[in-house]
Amino acid sequence: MWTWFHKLASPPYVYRTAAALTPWFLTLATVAIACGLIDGLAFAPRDYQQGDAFRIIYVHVPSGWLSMFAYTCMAVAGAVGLIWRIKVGHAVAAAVAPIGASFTAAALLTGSLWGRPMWGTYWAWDPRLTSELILLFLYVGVMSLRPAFDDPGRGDRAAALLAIVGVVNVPIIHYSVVWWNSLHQAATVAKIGKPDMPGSMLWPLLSMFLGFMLFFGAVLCIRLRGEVLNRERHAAWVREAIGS
Amino acid sequence: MALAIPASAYGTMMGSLALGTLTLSWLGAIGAGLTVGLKRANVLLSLIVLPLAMPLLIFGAGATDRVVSGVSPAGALYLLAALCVLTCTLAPFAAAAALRISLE
Repeated sequence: MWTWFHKLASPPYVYRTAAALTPWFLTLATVAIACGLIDGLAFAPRDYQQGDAFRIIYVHVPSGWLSMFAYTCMAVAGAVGLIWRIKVGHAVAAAVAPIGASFTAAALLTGSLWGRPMWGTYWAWDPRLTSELILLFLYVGVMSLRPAFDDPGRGDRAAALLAIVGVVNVPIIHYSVVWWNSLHQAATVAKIGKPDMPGSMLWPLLSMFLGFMLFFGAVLCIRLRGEVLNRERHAAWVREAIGS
Repeated sequence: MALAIPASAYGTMMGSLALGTLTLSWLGAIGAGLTVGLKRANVLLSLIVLPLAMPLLIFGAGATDRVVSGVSPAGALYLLAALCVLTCTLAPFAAAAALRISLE
């Protein structure tokens, strides 16, 4: 197990593994997202209150989950880089940040598009919405802190520290609908006991969630390869790998 | 007084300001530690500290707002106090780590 862990810290191994994993992730993500979309948009029953408008959850909810998952990944990868001085950790954190920011923006955007007909407003200073917006700003802060240092190693460590400090926000987002009696609806799926949703609506959502996770994995692999190549551009193995 | 706040809310406002000032100082310490010696430190500092300070401002304003509208501000003040304890205990370590990164 430890040899595997040590291998993971070696940039050429990570570069090759990411290349090998990408097609798998992409294929499975396409299948899962296609199943989820077809089932969710065409076959799931209409909501008795919201009609067809509820179907935006098949994009909104997985985006929201992934925005938090990606942030946690970024913070853990940053911590690995910070504590054990593993450079690949920082490369992963740098590769995750824009993906997570995109998921956050997607969750905010789909939420506000749904909010206009349902709540009568695009935006409300609701705890869930506010904490998700803070998450977006944290992503932007981490992304702009990294290149602000002349020394890349120092920028990596500063960005990792900021990511770790910002982790405080992740449980706040998750529990914001529990702690405050807010406009945003309470947890429907991720709760103890039975989800408040019939299976015909839930299965496409879970399929979309799986698809989004796999899509995240695929994009992460692609971005990670670019990141590792850029960081190791003076190393001998890179010249071998790209064959120049 | 400023903002036409009724006298009954002064105590709550002072309390929320006292707790909030301490918390903001610690948040600022982390941000300043991360950006010390950078060329574009000002912009980055606001980008880093403002999102962290947002919940604090919401609860601080919420406490005064509650007492003005006749509701007990205890909940918002407890949350402010919790944030204050959280930053007082953990922020020094974060700020020290930030300074170590920036200055090593």
